[in-house]
Amino acid sequence: MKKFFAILITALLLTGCATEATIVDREGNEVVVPTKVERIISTAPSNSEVLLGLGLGSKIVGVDNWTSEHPELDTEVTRFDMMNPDIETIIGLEPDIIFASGHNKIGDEDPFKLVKEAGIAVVYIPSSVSLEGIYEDIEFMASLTKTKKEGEAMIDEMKTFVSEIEEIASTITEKKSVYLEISPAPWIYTTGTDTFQDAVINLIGAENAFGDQVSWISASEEVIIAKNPDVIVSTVGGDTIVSDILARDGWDVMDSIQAKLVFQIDANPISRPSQNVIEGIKQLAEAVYPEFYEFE
Amino acid sequence: MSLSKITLSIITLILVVILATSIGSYSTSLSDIAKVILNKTFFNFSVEPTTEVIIWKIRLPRVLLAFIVGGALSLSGAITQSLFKNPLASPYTLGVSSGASLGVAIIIYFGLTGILGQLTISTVAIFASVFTILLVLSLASKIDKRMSNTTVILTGLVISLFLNAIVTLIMALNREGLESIVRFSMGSLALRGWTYVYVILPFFVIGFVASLFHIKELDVLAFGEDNAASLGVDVKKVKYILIVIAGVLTGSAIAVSGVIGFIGLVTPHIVRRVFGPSHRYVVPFSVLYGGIFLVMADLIARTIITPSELPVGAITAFIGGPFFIYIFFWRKS
Repeated sequence: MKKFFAILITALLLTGCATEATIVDREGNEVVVPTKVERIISTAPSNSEVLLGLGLGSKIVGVDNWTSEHPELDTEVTRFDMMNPDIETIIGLEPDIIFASGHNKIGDEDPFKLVKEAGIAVVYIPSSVSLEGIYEDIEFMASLTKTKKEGEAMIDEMKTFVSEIEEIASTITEKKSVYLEISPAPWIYTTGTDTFQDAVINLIGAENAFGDQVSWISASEEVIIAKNPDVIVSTVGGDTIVSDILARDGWDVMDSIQAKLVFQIDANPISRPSQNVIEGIKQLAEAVYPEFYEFE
Repeated sequence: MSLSKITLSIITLILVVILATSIGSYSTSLSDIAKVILNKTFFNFSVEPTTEVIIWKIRLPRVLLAFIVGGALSLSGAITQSLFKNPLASPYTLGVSSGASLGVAIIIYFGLTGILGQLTISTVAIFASVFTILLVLSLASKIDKRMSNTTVILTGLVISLFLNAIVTLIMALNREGLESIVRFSMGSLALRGWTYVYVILPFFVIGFVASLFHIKELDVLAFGEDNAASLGVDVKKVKYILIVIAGVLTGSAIAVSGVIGFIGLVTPHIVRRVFGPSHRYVVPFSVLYGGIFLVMADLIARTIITPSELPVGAITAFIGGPFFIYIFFWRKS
């Protein structure tokens, strides 16, 4: 009987005062989160971009060291190495909630275990590999931060843009194959299915030359040449990557090299699952199908 | 008896080279290879251009590079082992790989990789290797005028640990370059083409020929330094020359392929088991066996999980480690 009352009282407290609520995060963990969120830490660039997009820049008290500068983000904001976060500083910032990412975990080791034990809510958002996933991420972050309206507007804007792309893509009958290089020679990496990059390649009406592989792979040079992709796109930074690829030994046998169809696009928008992916889709679409896509 | 062993070794080499050139993630037939090679030398055969490029510009230089790198590492291992009369000595224990890694890490940290284009890392690695060897030698000779083996090896170890610590520090400060540095320290022969074969070839030839000129000294040194001195060998000078030869061989190998372990350690022991301790055999056959070893290891690295590749250094360690233990127990029993 005593137990029953205890539960009843707890339930009343939860619903009545409602300073806390139990939710399921994007990774499937049950987390108790505060209903009022004033101080936020974001541990992945994609999360930061979404939060900034929701207009929460002034509430962000700490970010990871990869998050890009943003006009709404304090330039002096505390930055962490999120693979190895400084727990004392994090707790000292007194955050109401931490938006963590799948990137932060190394194996099963949870770098925020101590932070959780200190009573701070930590929610995980694994890196989404599809647009649907991004919509859900945005919705999730918006609902926890009481910015549902802003979140819906963001998602609507993305959906409108994506449906325009889909419409154009459906008119493309001869699909070009794209080889997307995310790490340069001599340690070439490309992306197979189950990656965000693959989703974008398919969205614009092209096909991934390594669509028969899963996740990130270190591609063999022989296979790249044998696949003879129609277009080569690199997300590697620097001024020389296009000329480097054009000059690689033996690659000149490929049609794309002969026709000089080698392009460089920004790595961040196409690899960080946030609303900024629109920019990544634009860049890739213009590189692969300049005859179909034109953006201002 | 020796003759049949020599013939057998050479036949093995030829078979391994043919095997490695014919197998890859892109499938080719033996007749394709013959056609491509004939086409490139004297005759005219029509071959599909993709096949020709893959065999001639990608696979063949890679196999040759693997052979040269394996040979260079193995030969320098044989020299250091004989010189220090220590079965575990290698240019790596003298700090060469740490020096090269540090050079590369600094270049990556300061974002200077573009200065000499593709070959920046190679150039830096070879200079850093040779510089490290000279540093170890000059320190060792300051500590101990006679430069006894223990002094040189211990100095090498200390320098090596110290340089590794700096590399770790740079990696901790520079997450962006972390992967490049780690990859360099795992070794790879991918995407090298003929350029890198030409880069290492002169160093390899010079090192090999210079070693051939010191066969007698190596044999005499293996009997002990006092004996060598009484036979009129300028021990200190010969030691200096041989260490520098080993350093150049290893440095140039690291420069083109990153740090590939275990070859310099394991293959000389196999050669001594097969041909005995005479350096007339140890020197040339360390090259041959080391070459075969790395060609095979690279074949495994690039085909086992096709179309992906594994770092070749992981394969050599995976085969080399257990094999090394096996050889040691085999000798004991």
